Amino acid sequence: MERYSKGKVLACVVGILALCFITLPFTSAANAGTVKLGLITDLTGAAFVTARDSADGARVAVDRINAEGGILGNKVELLVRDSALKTDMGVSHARELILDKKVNLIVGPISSGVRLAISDVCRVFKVVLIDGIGGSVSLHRERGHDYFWQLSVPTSGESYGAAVGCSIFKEVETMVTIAPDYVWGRQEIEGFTAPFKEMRPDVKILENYWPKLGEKDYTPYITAIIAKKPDLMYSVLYGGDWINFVKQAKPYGLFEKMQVFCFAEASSQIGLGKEAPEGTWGFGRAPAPSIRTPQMKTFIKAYKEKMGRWPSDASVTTYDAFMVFKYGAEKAKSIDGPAWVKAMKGATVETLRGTLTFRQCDNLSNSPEYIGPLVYEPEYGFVVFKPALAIDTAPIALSCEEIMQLRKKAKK
Amino acid sequence: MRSWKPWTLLAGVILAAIMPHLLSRYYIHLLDLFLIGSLFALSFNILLGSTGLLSFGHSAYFGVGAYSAALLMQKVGLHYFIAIPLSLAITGVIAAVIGYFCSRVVAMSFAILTLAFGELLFVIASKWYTFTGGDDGIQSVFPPSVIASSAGFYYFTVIVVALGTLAIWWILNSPFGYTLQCIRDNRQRSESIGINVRRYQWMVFIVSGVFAGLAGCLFVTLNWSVAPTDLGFVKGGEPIVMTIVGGQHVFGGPIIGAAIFTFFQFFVGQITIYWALVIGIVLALVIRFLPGGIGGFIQQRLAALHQAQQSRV
Amino acid sequence: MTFVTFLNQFISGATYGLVLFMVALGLALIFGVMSIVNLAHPSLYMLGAFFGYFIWFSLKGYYLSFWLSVILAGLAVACAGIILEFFLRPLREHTEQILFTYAFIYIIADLVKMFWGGRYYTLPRPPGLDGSVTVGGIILPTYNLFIIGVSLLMGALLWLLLSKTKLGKIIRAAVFDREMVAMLGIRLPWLFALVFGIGAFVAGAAGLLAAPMGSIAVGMDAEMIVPVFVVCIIGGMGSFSGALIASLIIGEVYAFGILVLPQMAMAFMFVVVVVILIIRPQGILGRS
Repeated sequence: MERYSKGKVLACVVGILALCFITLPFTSAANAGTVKLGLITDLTGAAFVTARDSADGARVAVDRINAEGGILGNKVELLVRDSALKTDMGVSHARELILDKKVNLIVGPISSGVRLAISDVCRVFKVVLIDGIGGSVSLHRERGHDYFWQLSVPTSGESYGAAVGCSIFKEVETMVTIAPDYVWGRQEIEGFTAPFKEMRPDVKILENYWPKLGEKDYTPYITAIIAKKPDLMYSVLYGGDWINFVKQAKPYGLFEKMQVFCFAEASSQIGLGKEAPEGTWGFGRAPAPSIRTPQMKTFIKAYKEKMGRWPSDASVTTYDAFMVFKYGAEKAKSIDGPAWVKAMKGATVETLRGTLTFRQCDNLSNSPEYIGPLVYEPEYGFVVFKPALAIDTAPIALSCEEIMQLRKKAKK
Repeated sequence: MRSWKPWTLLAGVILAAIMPHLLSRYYIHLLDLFLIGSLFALSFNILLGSTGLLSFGHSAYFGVGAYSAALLMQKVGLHYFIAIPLSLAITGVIAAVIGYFCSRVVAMSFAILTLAFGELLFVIASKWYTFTGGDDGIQSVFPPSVIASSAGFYYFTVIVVALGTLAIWWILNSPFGYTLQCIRDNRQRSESIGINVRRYQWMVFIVSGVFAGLAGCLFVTLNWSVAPTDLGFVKGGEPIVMTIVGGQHVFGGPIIGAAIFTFFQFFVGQITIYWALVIGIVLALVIRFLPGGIGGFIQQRLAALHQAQQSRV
Repeated sequence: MTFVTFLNQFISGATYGLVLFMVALGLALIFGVMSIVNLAHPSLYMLGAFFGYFIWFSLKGYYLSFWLSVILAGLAVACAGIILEFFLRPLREHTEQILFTYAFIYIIADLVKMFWGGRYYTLPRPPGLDGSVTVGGIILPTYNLFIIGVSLLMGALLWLLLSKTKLGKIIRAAVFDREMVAMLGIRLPWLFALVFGIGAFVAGAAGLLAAPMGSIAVGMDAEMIVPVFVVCIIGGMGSFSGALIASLIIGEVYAFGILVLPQMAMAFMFVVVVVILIIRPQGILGRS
């Protein structure tokens, strides 16, 4: 009896498996005549607030593109996938979008690690990948290739902008830094230290603090920092971490004891609301409410109408990515990867952050980094840059020869 | 009575062989994921179904296998086929060390301790930037050109997973396997008849870890990358869901579960971002209404059917 | 290390540890009475924070709104806990129970994301507790001291409930001999639902109480899982005093570990776990 039913069980197993896999192709609807563009972003996990803003920016962009006639006369369909901060999910979704859904563009994700993995897939299958939000320099440097386009500020430019900002404070003699201890955080401090030392050799960096990403308890860092009595604190903490830090530091009076220069992207500012500390300066990639151009105003209005909330930096940069793709497709008169790349090499584009130019050798754009004093505005309910000064990040980029050297080394 | 087994096996082999001609590249990729997932889940079920041990940190060995293969290929320059057995050895050593501590405790403490060690490895992989690439992980890990094509890699995966499955089957049906069941069914009695329960727990931990590592080796060249998230708590949940939904008491249960999970993940993932909710509900429903999983359910139905047929004779 | 640093670390470690303690209390109660390991207990903690935030938001401006929110949030989570217990009831085997609650981790997390995900929420510290006290020239945030106090109070209240009240006697009797208690006319299902509810209440209240010290966001549950269960294992599953000792150990190891090697602070915790489990596999105050 045992052997008999085991054989049947086996038959059922094979049957179920076959069923699962034969039905798969039928679960994806085909939509001829539309251009499909993909957004892979980390909607599950610690980055989901930023990811959701990124997805919303994409939706506003696709709406606008379709309202204006689509790309080369074709309607655009946006496909959003959740990589959940996991490289295997990112890679699988990239393959699904490219091989099965035949997308012509992938934007995202938030995590540089996942984006690096997706970058390989895009390179092999010749599909354009635009970053959609800053991130690790490895993407355009040693791991860069023709199909990867760095539209927003990578860590090198961002930390350079922050260094310029910190150098403004002439009375500062000593400072400390605090950054989350992982690749991105380390790159931000690295990219800050060298240019800052050149601009202000008189300032002494007393200590670098490295709480872990997602640290709940900043008290040991807070008390240590206060004990050191620096004139300036440079912080790269973001999101929930920055909120935790602020709430825990306020009773100690940290913000009155030193000038604070912090990473100021919208989600943590919105989260803090009125509780944001006074007198701080910030740096950010695309602080929407603070960039006072007509196109940004239009974007904010459209975004608020559709989403019911304020756009954050990720919304702006992702929106820009899709609009840039449209521009490139029209320039190349084609949505095909190789043709798009050829037409866009070294091109100049209009974005919400102004006019940007891509560099020929590594597709790095000269995105500005914004710095400025953070002031509470009742109209928004959170702090904004008032004003926002755009710092040109082109001076800090590695030369094309250096980039090629890095790439050669990495290939070995 | 007609024997189903050889015919089904033949059908299965033929189906497997012609898949690359039936399905497009992406679906072959999913098929590869399913195969790797079933090996991973089967290795997990050596602990759960056969020995009664619930491990929440099984992804640690999967990840160690993947990382070792990647590092051996990139830093030492070894060929993939040589890197695989070496990374299995490394995984075995890590499983031995962790297993030594975990085999000293039972049930709940075991479950939580495996979780804790899994998280520890995750922290190490994330922090050791110079060695493991930190939280970016390791990229551009390509399989050798002989199996680099979609069909080529698929056949390689089928063969390796089939061999692995047979090996696990053989182990579970050997005297070693029966001892494990003995321990699962009654720990105290096993001890009283002279079985060194602790040592068996340790050994089975290593065995199941090595097979998980094998799945990891396949995984890294499928995805061309590995990252700390492949080691953590969330990844560790995958074999659990696969095994429970598929059925822990049937050998083929984890395989069914892997198919359903892979199917779900990408089908559901296209419709909604709340796929974790769907999987959670499915898992809860299966536990509540189908305690033996789908595999167990099938087995019950067939046994009942057979009973009915027998009684009619 | 100066005395100031030491004291700051000590208070900070005690605060963190005692938040873990509050969550572990509920777990210990549920396990002690019903032998159920509720993996979703940290999820209930997160639910308490979210429920609490929205309750507080609607009650803003009223006197004692924060305290009222804590009670109401606790009750709301207690209801959620009772619902979970209801679904858990037909399951007999321990493995099944653990895995069922494991499934609920995902369910609760995604439901929270669905309804409230999408931004960080911050709760200000309640008036009167938002400043700091200066003890001998050392600044200590008042709220941290409050958390230390309230968690010990909660532990004490729960202990009093179990040891001095009639209900407590019934609960303890049910641990020893379920059938006897049932035969005495006590309705066991109601009793177990109540116990689960109490455990959930404590976790939910802890969620809101801890919220003013940080932010409320999806992911709060995942952060708690490993530390809370490590506390339970070290202290001995089901033991209140064991949980108290273990949570203080874990809290302080973590706080001082940050000073030594911040990125590896978690690793120190594991070393402690391993050492304790080698010496005493059932935990410090667990039953063999």
